[in-house]
Amino acid sequence: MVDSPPQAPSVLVIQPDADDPLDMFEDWFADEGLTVQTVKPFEGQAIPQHVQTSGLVVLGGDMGVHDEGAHPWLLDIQILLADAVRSEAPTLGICLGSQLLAAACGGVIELGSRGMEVGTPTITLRPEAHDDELLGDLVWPSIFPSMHRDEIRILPPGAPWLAESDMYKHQAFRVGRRAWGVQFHPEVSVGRFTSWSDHKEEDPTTVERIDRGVSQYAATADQVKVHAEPLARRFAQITIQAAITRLASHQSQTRF
Amino acid sequence: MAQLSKGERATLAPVGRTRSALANEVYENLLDALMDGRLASGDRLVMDRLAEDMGVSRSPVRDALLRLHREGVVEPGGRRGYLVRASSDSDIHNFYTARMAVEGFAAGLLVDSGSEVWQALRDMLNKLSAHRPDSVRESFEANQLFHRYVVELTENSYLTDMFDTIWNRGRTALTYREFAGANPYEGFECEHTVLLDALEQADPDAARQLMTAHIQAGLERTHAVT
Repeated sequence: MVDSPPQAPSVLVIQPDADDPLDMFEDWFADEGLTVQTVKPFEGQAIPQHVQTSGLVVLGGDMGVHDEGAHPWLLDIQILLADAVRSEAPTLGICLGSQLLAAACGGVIELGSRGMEVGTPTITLRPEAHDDELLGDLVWPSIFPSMHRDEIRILPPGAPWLAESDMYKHQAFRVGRRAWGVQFHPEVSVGRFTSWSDHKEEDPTTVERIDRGVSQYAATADQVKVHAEPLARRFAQITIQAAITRLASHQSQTRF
Repeated sequence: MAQLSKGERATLAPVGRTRSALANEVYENLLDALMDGRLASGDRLVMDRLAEDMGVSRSPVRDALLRLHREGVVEPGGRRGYLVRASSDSDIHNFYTARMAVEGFAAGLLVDSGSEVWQALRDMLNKLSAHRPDSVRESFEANQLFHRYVVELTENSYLTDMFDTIWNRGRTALTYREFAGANPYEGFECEHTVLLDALEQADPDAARQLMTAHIQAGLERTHAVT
């Protein structure tokens, strides 16, 4: 049997929304040596059924988990996420991505009971999460950009609950060994975040919250980077380590 | 097999020919039609028509309808017939809360049964996940089999009987659409893997709470589609 040449560790990025790309994570992933393959379902690109890369990232988007009528591929993303949990491929779901991960593993997603959370809320790590492989070594509490209407009302029963904010308690969780969901947006830059604010009709309270949230991020951008960069790098390292471990076990199986 | 002398009646009739076996088939047929929406609340079920459509005599149809009546799915309406009742939110709510009582309790009992039960449940889950169900009915049955196995493993047949009673009636309270909304196929394996991982680490109280939360999440998801 001839081994195919070892590939550079790569991560599959599912981008559900044209306005919600990998953004700041792109440079940090590249710097760690992680190659990115992006799939854009809104351009008609098919969601694969299995994770064939070393890891998976599912980004956010303006749609909701239950909008599969308008976006049937939302169900395909859930199938892919379930596959990632099964195969223990390092996985990170961001905002909508985290809600899809929760939904794919038995959680319940609903319109947020306290309205839109927007700005850079303080995120607190829960005591039982201090040995978490992704989040345990970061600096807590931290601030992260956030903009969401829906909430994860019930986490997948049994999933470790890792972090919370004052407004919405389910800010971070894990399913299986290496699939994480974060309700906040560690990847988004100030520029991109600001562009999300020019949205159509909103009720006055929400408009005010958005305006306040945008200036909050502009004022705290340096601090955000201090927290967001280590999270991105840590995820890239976990993904690369998983690729190396897999390659090693593959070689020991084929070499005898 | 014992020889029967002339005039003597067989004590066991051939399987599939008995009135009760036929009644069961008619019942399953009607249930299928109810769950996939071919029959909806308010529809009339006339005994003679049904017998003719299904190519059976009236007796098994009557038996099946009486059973559906007992289970609260149909109510008498018009001559020799029944009407399909609307299943209420409280029927669905009661189905899920009764499940919490029996299946939550069973999960608590399993904690002291040793590690083999978790392996047995994992094997069952792998078997059920091995092929993607191609109908909501298959998906319903996979879910039912997994949950029944949790109760079976307690080796308490009273609990298993209670499970069967609840699920048989629950099947009539939920439409397939409600069931599919509450138990998306995509989540079947992932959801139960996460649950099993956590149950294996839990003490009896925590195990009861986990199973209850799992069933509660199913109940909450029915609201999304109704």
